[in-house]
Amino acid sequence: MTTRLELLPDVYLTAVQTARFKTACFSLSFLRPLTRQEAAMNALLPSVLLRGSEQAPSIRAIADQLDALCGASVGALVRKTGEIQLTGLFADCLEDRYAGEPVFSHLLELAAGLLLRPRTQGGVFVPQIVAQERQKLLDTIESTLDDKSEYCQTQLLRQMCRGEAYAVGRLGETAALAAVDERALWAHYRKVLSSSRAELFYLGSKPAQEVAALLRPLLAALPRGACDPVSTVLGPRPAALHRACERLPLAQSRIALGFRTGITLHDSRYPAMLLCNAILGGGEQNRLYTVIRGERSLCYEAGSWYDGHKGILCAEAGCGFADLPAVEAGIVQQVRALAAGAFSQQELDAARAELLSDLRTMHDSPGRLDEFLTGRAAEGLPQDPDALAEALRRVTAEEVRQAAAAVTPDTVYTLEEDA
Amino acid sequence: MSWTDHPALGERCFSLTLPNGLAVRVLPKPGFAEKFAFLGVNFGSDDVCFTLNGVRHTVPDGTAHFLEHRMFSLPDCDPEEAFSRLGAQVNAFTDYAMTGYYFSCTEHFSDCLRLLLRMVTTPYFPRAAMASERDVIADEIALYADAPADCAQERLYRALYRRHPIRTPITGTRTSIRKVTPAVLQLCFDAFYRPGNMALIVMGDVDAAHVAELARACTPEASSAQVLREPLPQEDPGVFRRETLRRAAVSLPTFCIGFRAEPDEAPIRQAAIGALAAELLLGESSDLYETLYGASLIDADFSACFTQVPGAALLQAVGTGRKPRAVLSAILHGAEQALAQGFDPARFARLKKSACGRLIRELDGFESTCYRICEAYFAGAGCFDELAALRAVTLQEAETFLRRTVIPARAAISIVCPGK
Repeated sequence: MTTRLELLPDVYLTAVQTARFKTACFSLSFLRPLTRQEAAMNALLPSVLLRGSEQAPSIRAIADQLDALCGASVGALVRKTGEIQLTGLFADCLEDRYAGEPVFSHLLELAAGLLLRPRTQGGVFVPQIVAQERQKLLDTIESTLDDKSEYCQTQLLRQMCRGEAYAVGRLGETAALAAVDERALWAHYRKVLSSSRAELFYLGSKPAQEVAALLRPLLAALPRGACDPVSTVLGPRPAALHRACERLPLAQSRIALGFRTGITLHDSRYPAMLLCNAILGGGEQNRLYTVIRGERSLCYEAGSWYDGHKGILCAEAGCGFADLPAVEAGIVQQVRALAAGAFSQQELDAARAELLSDLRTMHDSPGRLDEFLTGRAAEGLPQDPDALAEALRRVTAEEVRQAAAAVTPDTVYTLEEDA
Repeated sequence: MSWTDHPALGERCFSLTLPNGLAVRVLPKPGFAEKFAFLGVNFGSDDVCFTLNGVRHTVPDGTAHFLEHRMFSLPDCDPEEAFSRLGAQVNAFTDYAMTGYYFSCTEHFSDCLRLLLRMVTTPYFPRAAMASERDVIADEIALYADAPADCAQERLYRALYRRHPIRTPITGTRTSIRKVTPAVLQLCFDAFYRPGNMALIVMGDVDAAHVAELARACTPEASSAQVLREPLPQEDPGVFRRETLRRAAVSLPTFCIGFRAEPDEAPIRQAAIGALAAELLLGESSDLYETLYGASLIDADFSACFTQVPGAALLQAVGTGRKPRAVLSAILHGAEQALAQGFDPARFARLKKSACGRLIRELDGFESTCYRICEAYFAGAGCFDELAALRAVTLQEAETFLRRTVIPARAAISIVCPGK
């Protein structure tokens, strides 16, 4: 059973009561506009908060408490949902009935202490901690290079969405961190607490009202003011195909193609676009897999994803340098084929069955449910997965064809083997 | 056929061994939409030397993985397409000691299970498909070569072991896979893809008796093949190489530090001791973690764990940072100091409580739970023996493990650092 409550002004709790799991999950996200100026600070905040509170003043003290709570966890939560950035903490623990003692309420106390009573020095964050975590964040942002698939897609989006908030990565930009010190971060922290809508998520065996009763006193110290608005802007239609490439010492080249669809979560064509992406490269038995890998043996990895928050579709593959043109042509050819309606009823049925199955199994996965429900709440959309399932069932082949016809190539980014 | 109740875990487990030797385990999960089936074959990339019906064979490196790829083929249908039509997601993996095939579905479970069982027990290796499969696997090998964590891990095994087959990549090499032929695949299929060398684990809202019936109807009769695995080669007391370094397009050095342990005859017990020892020495509540993190030698992604396959065991620490060698020195020094002083028994008790809690929570994950049950079965243990093994570990056992293992003679470091 899913319940939504407003605990404080602009502080919402989505609670899913179920006794099926051995783990109880909780997350708290502040919703921020994704901007070049503050994204990195939003990403830095949870890491600094996780260095200690008044009650648990070090990583070791926090770890000791989590160990005593039967191996509970607290971690940083930083998500990018369209052009909205979510920053906060997640926490999960063994359900009280398996632990044989109250765990969840103590975990909430620990998390609230980290969030609202951080370790300070001179009325701001501890300078050494901020400096250390800032450097670690810089390293993490730069380590995107280590995952060549992720790096290729990040570079693609930077090129494709220049001038749009969406170009900013989930963890922000390194340049914006240069001037961040303990004072600047503290001021930003206070602003985030007071000026952001907060979305809380709980999944576990407790009723929503009981969780709300535990949370209300813990959050009483949360300052509340007018909230900064958040939203995602649909980008422009591409005028011409843009290309960019980079040479690196690699064993394998990679290619990412970015497409604009003009179709977002708010659009009635959204379910058709989900099906279009599943047939193209997002589903189990998709065109990119069966044709580019299966029939033509051009690569091991090929697939696509669609972000309905921004209306962008991205296809990506790893292949030999000599095969880059063939892979690019193959991807574009498959998009055109779908737009021409050249797909079978069997392909459509399989894609639909898989998406419906995904929605059903989402109820078996607390993490996926949190992301889905919080993401929908961030966009101000109804949270019911069953309504989306119903809409998917009604989509016709012609609607999928029309959705595919809206998929317009924008940018190609390649990472090329530097022999 | 039997049911075992585990009230503390909220689980019931159905166990059966079919007349053909296939082990079947079912964990019913009422109320869940997902139904998950895992068919494990006790055959991994390390199994390159064996005797089948009195004849000794050595197969090319990467054969088990190649075979996994080729099992997704039936004479009358494309199994992946068939799973897709059923709305199911199917996948497989090969590791050093096991090959696993699995699917997840919400509907048509019986059809999916029939298909999985038929796919994994039907040898079909047309010569025409070999060349394109080699191309796809070559791309997979290149993919891992560009992944610093995978690369550092593989090279660590090569540094720690001079002879054990763990030093060879699971996928083999571009050269070795050229030698894999349909005859080699058939040979390995005959030797290892026997029902008596497999285990079927199912989780979900399913009827256990029905699963057993399907397994009985869809698997072949017991095989008469006589298979002997070659004894693993004896290793030298010290590591093969202390350090291995590779340059690549990465932002920061990625490192894997390993301490080679003596493999134990009771792997479940050793895994429990090793896991707690790793936490004791390098977990977030340890002196060492605080020192390393405070000195910015590691970041929040640093982790330490115990790993084992038949004939090989190690405690390892992985992370990224500018000074990997300083991390190794600090661990060696920190272990010596901590062991001289002795670890805090109260903290050890907390760590045990924590490890047990996390283990119970992991039962929420169908895929990882099925894998663990299968791995335990192949090691001769029961479904949830890990929990009892964890509870039984003493501080003295963990300290003895660290004293014997975390020493310079047993240490190696593998670094992938920026540069051409």
